[in-house]
Amino acid sequence: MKRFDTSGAPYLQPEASVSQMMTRLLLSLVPAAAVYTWFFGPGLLLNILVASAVGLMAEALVLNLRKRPLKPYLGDGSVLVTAVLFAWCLPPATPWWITATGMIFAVVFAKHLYGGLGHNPFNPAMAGYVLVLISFPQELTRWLPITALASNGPDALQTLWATFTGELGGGLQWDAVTMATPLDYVKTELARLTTMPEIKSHVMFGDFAGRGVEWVGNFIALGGAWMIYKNVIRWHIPVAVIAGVLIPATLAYMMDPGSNGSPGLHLFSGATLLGAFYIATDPVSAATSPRGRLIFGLGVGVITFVVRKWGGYPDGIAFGVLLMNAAAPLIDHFTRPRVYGNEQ
Amino acid sequence: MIKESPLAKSFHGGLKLNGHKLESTGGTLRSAPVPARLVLPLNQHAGRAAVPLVSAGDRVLGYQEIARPDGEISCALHAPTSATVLGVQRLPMPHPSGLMGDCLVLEPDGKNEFGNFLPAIDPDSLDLPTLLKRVSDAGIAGLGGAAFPTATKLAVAAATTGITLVINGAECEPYITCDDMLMREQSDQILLGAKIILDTLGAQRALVAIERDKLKALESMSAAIERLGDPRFQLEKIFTIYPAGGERQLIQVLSGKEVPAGKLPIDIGYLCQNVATLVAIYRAVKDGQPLVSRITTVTGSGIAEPGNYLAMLGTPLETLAESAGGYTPGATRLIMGGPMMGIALPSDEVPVVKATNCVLVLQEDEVRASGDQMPCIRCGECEQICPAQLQPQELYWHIRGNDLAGADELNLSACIECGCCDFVCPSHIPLSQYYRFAKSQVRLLDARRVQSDIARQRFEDRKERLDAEAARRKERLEEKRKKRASRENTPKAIKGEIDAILARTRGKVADSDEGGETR
Repeated sequence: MKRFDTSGAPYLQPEASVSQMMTRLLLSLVPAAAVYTWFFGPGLLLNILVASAVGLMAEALVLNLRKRPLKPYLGDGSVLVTAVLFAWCLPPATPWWITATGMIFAVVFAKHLYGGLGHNPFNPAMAGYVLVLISFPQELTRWLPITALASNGPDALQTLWATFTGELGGGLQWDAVTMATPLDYVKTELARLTTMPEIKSHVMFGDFAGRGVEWVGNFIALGGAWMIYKNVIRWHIPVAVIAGVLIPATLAYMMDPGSNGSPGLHLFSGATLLGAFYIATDPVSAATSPRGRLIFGLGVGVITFVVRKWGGYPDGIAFGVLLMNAAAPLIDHFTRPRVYGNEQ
Repeated sequence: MIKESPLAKSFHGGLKLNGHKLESTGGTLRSAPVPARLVLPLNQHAGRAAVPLVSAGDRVLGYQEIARPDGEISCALHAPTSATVLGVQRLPMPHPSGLMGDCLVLEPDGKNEFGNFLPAIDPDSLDLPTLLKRVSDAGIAGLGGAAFPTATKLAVAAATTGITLVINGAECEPYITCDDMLMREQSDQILLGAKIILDTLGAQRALVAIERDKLKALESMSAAIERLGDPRFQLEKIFTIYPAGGERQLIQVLSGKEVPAGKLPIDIGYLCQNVATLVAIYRAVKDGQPLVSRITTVTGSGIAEPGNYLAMLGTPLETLAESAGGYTPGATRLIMGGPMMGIALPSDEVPVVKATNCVLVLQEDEVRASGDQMPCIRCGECEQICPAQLQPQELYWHIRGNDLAGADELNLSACIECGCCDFVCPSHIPLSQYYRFAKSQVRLLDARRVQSDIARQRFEDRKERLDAEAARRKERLEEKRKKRASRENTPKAIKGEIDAILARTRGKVADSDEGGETR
C-alpha cells in the first residue's frame, strides 16, 4: 500500500498567474517607454523610478501594518504597474515629492484602505494622478517639448536635478523650456477663437496630434494589441474607450471642423491610447462582464471627450475612469449574462 | 446510413486542454490479474447502498448476485468470479477523505467458475419491462463516471416518446482513454447495445458523438455503423473542447438546445448513454452477464506503463498499478477520474468501482500547488470560459461573504463543477471547491428549512388545539357558573344534580372501555 497526498480537484496546473499578467503588462510598455524617452528625454524613466520606489515602500509598510505576507503581494507586480501608469501620466521632470505624494495616496488610500489588491473600487493610479493634478496644477502642466524642438531644453543631468530639487538649475527657467501639451494648447487657442487649421499649423503638431506623442501612441497601441493577443486583457474595454472618444469627436468634427479637434487629434493626444489599453482595463476597478465592459469603456471615452470639449481640464481620461469605476458595480448588476438553462 | 456532420463548438466557453491521451492508447486492451482479495463497496453508485445477500463463509460463483438493490435508486452487486465471502467489512472507500464504508470482501478461489444466473435473451424479442428488469438485475450503473443506476434512467426515459439517444463517446477530460479504446475494439457491441434501447424505447435516432481527434475510434465506429446498416444511427464529429462530454454541453453541441434549469436531458427528449454502459447492457441481455468488470485507464507520469485495463470490480488500485508496471519514483498523487473532476485518493488500497474510469498517478511538480492563492482581481477570465454561462467571480464573492442565498440566486446550482474556472484563474483560487462547498451548504439549509417548516407547523397546530381546548373549558365553566347561580338549594335539587353527574361519569367510563377518547 502506498500513501498519496490529496487536495481538491482540479489538479492541472493553472496557466496564468497575477504576477505573469502584471509582468507582461510591464513588458508590453517597454517599446513605448523607449520611444517616449527618445522624444522627450529621460524624465519618464526618472518618474517611474521614483514612483516604483515610493510605491513599493508604501506597499511594504501597509502590508506590515495589516499583518499580511510581504513576498506574494510585493512580488505580484501590481504596485509596479500602478507606479508605471501613474508615472506615465506625469510630465517629465516632475519634482519627486509630487510623484511620491501621488503614489502614497494611490497605494495607501486608494488601494489598501479598501482592502488591498482586488478590493479597490477606484483605479489607484488615476486616484493618485487626480490628487496631484488638483493639488499641484502648475507643476502638472509644465510639459517639456520634444527634444528636437528644444535646442535649449534640459539635458539628462538637468532633468535629474529638476526631478530631485524641483529647480532646473544651469540658468534655465521653467517658462523658457516648457510648453503646453497639444491638448492644452488646442483648448486655450480655441477659447481665443483661433481656428483648428491655424492651431494645427503650430510647430508642435505632427500629422494628427503632437509630434512625438503620436509615435508614443502608436507603440502603446502595439503593446496593447500584444496584451490582447496574450490574454492579459480582453478587447472590449480598449475598443469601447476608443469608440467612446472617436464617435462624438467625429460627429463634432463633421459639424464644425474649425472649432473641433479632428478624430485623429483626439485619438493620439493625451492619454486616450494609454487609457484605453492600460488604465481603463484595470480589471479590479472595471466592470467584469463582456457587455458591462463595453458600456464601461464607452462611458470612459464619452466622459473623456466631454471633459476635453467643455470641461476645465485639457484631458479627461482620469476623470472618465474614476467616474466609471464608481458606476462599475451598477453596470455589473444590470449586465449579468443569462445562465445556461435559464430564461433571461 | 452514415451522415458525418462536423459541428462547430456551440456551448459557451470551455477549454482546449493538453489531452495526454497518447500515453495510454499505445497498446491494446489488457486484462488486470485476479487479485487475492476483491473489495466491493455496497454503495458504489448514486442512490442507496445495496443490501448484502451473502454472509461470511459462503461460496459464490462468478456472476452470482451478492447484494440486491435497496429501493428505486440503487444497484445490485455481483461476484466477479468464483470466491469465498469473507464478510462485510468497513474499509476505505474511493473518497478523498479516506472515508470508510461497508464493503463485501471476497477471496477468489482461482477456479473462475461462473453460474448461469441470468438467461440469455434474444435482443430482437425484447420488450421494455424485460429490458428494465434485466438492466436492474445486472446491476448496471452509468460507467461514464457518475454511476447513476441505468435501469432508473431508462425507466424515466421510457415515459417520453420520440427521444433521441446520444451515444456519448466524447471523452473530454485529459488522460482518460477507456471509452476511446472501447470504441476502437468493441464498436459493434456498443451499437447493438444502443439498438436495444432504440428498439425497446421506440427512440427515433441515435447520435454517436465522438471528438474529431479520436481518429481510430471514429474510423472503427463509422465502419460499425456501416456494418449495422441501421438508418437511425448517425455519426457526429464534434470539436475537442473540454467539457464537451458533459451531458448538457453535448446536447447543446448536437442540438443547439439547452436543458432548462432544474430539468433533465430527457425532459427535452434526449437520453445520453456512455459507450461502456451500452456494452454492459448488450452483454446483460445477449449473454446474461451482469456488470462485474470495467475498463479503466491507468495512466500519468507516475505510472511506468500506462494503458487500459479490463479490471474486475473490487480489484485494489494497487494491483492495477502493479500490472501497469508499478509507480515511477516521483509518483505522489493518486487520482480516480480525470485531472479536472477526479477525486484525489489518500491510498491505493481502495478498489476499482463502477465509476472508476481512470486511475491517474501524477508527480508533484505536475499538480497545482495549493496555498498560493491571491485575491480575486475580477479579471473575468472565469466568466469567459464557464460552460454554464455563470459569473464564477460573482459567485465567489457571495460565497466568501457567506451569502449563500445570494449565490443561490445567481444560479449556483447550474454549476457543473467542471473546473474550467480554476484552470484559468490567475489568482489560483480553488473556485469549484468553493462552489461544491456552497452547494452542499445550500442543500443543508434547504433541508433545515423544510424541517423547521414542519416544526413550526406542528407548533402552530398544537397552539391552535390548546387554545381551542382552553376556550371550550372556559365556556363550560361559564355554563356551570350560570347554572350554579340559578340552581335551587333544596336537597332534592342537589340529589338530582349528583345523579346527573354520576350518570355522566358512568357514560365516560363506558366510553373509555370501548377505547374512545376519555379526555
